[in-house]
Amino acid sequence: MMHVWLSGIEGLLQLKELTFLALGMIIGLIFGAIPGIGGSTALALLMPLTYGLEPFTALALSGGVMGAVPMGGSITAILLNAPGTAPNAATCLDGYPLAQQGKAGLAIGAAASANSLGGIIGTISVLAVLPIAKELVLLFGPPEFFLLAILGLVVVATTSRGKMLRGLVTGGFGLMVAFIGYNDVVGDVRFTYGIEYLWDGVHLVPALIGLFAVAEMMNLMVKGGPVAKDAGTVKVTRMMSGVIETFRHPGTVLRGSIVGTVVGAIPGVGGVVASFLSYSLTVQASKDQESFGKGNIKGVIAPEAAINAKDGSALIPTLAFGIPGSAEMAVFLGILVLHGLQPGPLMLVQNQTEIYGLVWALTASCILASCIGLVLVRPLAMITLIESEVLAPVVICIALIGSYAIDGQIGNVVVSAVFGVLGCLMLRFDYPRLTVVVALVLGGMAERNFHQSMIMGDGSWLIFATRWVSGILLASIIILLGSPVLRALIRRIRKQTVVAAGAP
Amino acid sequence: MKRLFGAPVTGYLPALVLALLTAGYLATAYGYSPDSRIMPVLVAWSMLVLLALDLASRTCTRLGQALTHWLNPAAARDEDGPRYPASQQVAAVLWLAGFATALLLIGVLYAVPLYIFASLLLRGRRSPLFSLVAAGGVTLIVWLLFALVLRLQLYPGLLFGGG
Repeated sequence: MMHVWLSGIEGLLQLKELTFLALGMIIGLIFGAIPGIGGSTALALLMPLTYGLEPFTALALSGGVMGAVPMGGSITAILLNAPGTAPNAATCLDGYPLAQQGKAGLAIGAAASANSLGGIIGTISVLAVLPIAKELVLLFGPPEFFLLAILGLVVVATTSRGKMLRGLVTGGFGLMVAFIGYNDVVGDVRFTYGIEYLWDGVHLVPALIGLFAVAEMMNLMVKGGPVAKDAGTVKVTRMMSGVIETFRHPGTVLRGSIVGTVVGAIPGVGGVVASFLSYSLTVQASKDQESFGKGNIKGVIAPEAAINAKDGSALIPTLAFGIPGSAEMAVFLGILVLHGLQPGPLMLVQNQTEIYGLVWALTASCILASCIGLVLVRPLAMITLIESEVLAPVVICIALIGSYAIDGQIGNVVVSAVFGVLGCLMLRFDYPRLTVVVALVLGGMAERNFHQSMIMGDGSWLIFATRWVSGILLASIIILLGSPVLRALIRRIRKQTVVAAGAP
Repeated sequence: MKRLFGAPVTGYLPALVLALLTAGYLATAYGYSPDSRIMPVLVAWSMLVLLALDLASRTCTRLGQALTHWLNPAAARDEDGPRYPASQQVAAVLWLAGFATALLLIGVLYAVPLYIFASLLLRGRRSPLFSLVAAGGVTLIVWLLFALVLRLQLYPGLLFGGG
């Protein structure tokens, strides 16, 4: 096994491969930082350009792009609350409050180092798991995928900082929106009300741009002033302080990386679930849950570690089964096919050098991109000092055109604007936005797998409880839904015990 | 401000509007085949139950306080937190709606400079020269990035042949 790993490194350490890796990294960093233009767009644009390249060089270029996109996305997520890519939305939760407190440098430093560590841990996990990948992926069938989607929603709702009910309401709303459009189970079109654009459903990225970038800028316009609440207190902390913070929380990095690796390996679940699940588990595990959402550095480290860790493991279903786990992986699948590499179990045997070269390229790219991110901390943090009257129109402008650029549909602009107003109202009336995002991502998957499960179980709902993996998932959902009541009961019993113990 | 069950009326609005939307959604869902509607119906009914709980939790009754204590302990009430004039909130929505409409009607290359210039001049109270330069700069960046680098055909607007 070791010689295959080394042949992958050897293949990558050629001048041509390194040059294309660096080029891909720079492109990934830039594209990741523009809200709406994620890795899938960058790869799609590069796809025709790779045609003349050797397969290994094309993979180095692609690995460079995919490894750097998350770092680019986290920069705008922290500074502007505008996630460059969908998974970076989880970074906004604590990264943006830190930027508002004048600690943007700290947050970006932590994000960059968590990115690198997550990437490295993800790579180690993939190297260990790749040989047994088939068994791992096959543990999940339709009932498990359905329950995983529900669990994802419930986890995010229960960790919505003491707003479980409102989190579930917005999650339900997200699911309702996710059912709009063509239903590939039955083959009909639903809830489009004659609007042709909606036949493809409400596109995720324009909705995300609206909910986060546009809504936050509108909010900033209403409030006035710069992103950092008190311009006088903005300190661009030393580049290393964020890095040190990451190393102070090894448990958070490890948890995020493991979550990213596991979730990334499950097809169709993707980075959004990985980052939000990692964030939620970190909140659950923390003793000071109230500080999350207000600028807790662990809220930046956890999702960032998960995002880069999942990139490596997302290759498992893509390469082993030809099942892309995300839009980015779907485009990458196209690049593989374009270069005569046929994804499937045979690829794991016949193209090991290319596969391991790609894994190393991803790792190298995320580390290098993080280093560049660290160098750029100081100038980038100054963005938070720009007055909202200047910043908001420019960001709204780029965000809406970025939304249009995804697939050249002007309907995307309308979706972003509508979700922008919606996000603004949700901020105003204190409804969490995260569950909407998770529901939009998981809605289609949940419905598809629900129908498949029903067919498998001959219409019986028992199918969700009689398989051991689905049984565990179902039990987790029930425990989580009951957790606020359980926690309050435990608190009350403790209080009564203390009072009783203190009584004469 | 008018109050209902001890709480401001505006606090009930989001849940009420969502309940109305959900009811409409549910009515539409029942028009589809049983296989097609099963999940939307399931979600919509669950939503109505959750919204009923949300509405109840917003009242200042014993039930409302109990629900908030169990399910929404950290949720801010409508009167909590900083309040901004309604006119500013409406203005932010109108500026966004105006820009989106301009993009639809006159396309990217006219809407972008117009929006940036007007926004900086009228809302940001910047000088006409600064607004003009900023509008030109942003338009140039948009053109370079999207048209030149990404080779994207910038939307020309419905009035200029956009579909």
